[in-house]
Amino acid sequence: MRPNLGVTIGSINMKNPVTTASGTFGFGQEYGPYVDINRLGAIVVKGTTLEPREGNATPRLVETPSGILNSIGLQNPGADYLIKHYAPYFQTLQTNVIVNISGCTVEEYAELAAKLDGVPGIAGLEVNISCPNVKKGGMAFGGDAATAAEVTKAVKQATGLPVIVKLSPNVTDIAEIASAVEAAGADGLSVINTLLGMAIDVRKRKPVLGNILGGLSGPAVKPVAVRAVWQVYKAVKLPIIGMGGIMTAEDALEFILAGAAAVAVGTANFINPRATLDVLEGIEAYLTENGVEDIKELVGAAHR
Amino acid sequence: MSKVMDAKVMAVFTVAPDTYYMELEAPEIARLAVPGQFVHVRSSDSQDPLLRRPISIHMVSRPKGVLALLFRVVGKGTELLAQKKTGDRVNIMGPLGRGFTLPLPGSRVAVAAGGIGAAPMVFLVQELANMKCQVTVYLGARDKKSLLCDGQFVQMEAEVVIATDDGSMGFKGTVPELMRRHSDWRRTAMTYVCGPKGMMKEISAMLAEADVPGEVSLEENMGCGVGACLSCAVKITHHGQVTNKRVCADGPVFPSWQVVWE
Repeated sequence: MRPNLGVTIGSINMKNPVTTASGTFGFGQEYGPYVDINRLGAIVVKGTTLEPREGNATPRLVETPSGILNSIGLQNPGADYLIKHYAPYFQTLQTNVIVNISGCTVEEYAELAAKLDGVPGIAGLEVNISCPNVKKGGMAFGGDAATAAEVTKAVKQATGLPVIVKLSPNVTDIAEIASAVEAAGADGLSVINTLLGMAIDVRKRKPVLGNILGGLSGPAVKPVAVRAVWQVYKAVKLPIIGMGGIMTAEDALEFILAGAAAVAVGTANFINPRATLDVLEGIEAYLTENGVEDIKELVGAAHR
Repeated sequence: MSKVMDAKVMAVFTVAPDTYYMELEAPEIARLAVPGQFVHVRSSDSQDPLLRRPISIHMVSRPKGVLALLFRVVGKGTELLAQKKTGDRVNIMGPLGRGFTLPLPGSRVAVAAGGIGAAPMVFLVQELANMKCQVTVYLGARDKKSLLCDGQFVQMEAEVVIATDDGSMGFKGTVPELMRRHSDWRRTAMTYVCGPKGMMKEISAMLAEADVPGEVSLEENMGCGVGACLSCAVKITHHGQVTNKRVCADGPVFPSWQVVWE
């Protein structure tokens, strides 16, 4: 008998727990030649803002030991373009499309969420709360429980779509923020966003990235991400999408055992464009080999 | 359509200081590739180095199903690649990107190549020779030892004019300086340029001034190679508006007059 792989995040029914990390999978089409996207439980597409954004200066990416630092700067064509040019494509897919959203004020998040509400082809929103809050002196919304909750509440009020809040690991107590976001009405949590980092070119004696600071991802961050999922699972009842350096099914299972209901493959797509399906097939094989009938039995199993 | 495959190394050897020639058995990619495209190469199975390396396609032999790369060792990834032995497997993805625009058969064209920038131009000149084009190659390098592909261009019946920084072979100076002393390129249907950024910038300005069309092959730190991650952004002017294009998917080849050089 084939194991049951279905999971639910808010009202999003995923046929399996595998999705993509925003920013690493474009709008899906880019990976069309390599992956049958319809086999995935969901895809989380490129971070979208109300207005188009040009992004940061290059270099935008640099390799570090077992990882990458990126500072793309949310380059995207804006919400109107997404609705007009990508949503019709999303509608043709037999998978859930979750749009990652960013803003620089609470009002901007709410306006964007309202705009995407009811757009055919969009199954849910992932809220990136790592954008610096301009009004509050450049501090990221995700760095503070009160502001994280404020954004969550505003987005929830603006849309009927399920709202998944993507947590930043660059905080002292991620569980505290997770609890605040849960109380504010979130339907799920993505854990984790990238870790703030930087690299310096010793020959030029200058920072490598055009933006100086960047977000670290890839296998280098996996233990930090698993720890974050573990702590968040203990603190909240919300379903968690675990991510951070997942390269293989075994990596994904670590996240599931730590408490993730679903997993997102990010940086791995760059190295192995078929990574999402390899992870999916590996999870299924693991369940079959170990006589696990339902993936849900494994979620958080390492806590028990 | 791009493929991902484990390609068998058919040959690998050094041709100049820190520069390696590698032949890979990849019939499908060889069949699909056009000059100016690249393959995204995994230099090892380990997670460090993690990313693939974009390497331009140097040559193809479709009857043999072989793809050739010519690359310079610049870091850990290319160093590991250079250590491969005949019979080893290398995971490659490609062909990727948009290549050069080919002229009408029989056209007169120019090629300007500096350093490792000569690598993709061999595939291009191969195709141009098949199209009975009249090709002049302005070829530059640091010194005689580092000069690449001059013999191949001659074999394909291109006219080859050489410049070296130290004057150990041909004209002493840079490729743009060399081109200033010649006028042939001013009367061509297209000038194809690949080399260091400074060289491409200078030649692009010369082409604009002479009002002749050119194409440049750009390089930028790359992630996915398929247009998803937006790491390899380059500023391009299109209809008077500056927008970000992706070197991997919209390029690596761009019209020389559209590039906004930093």
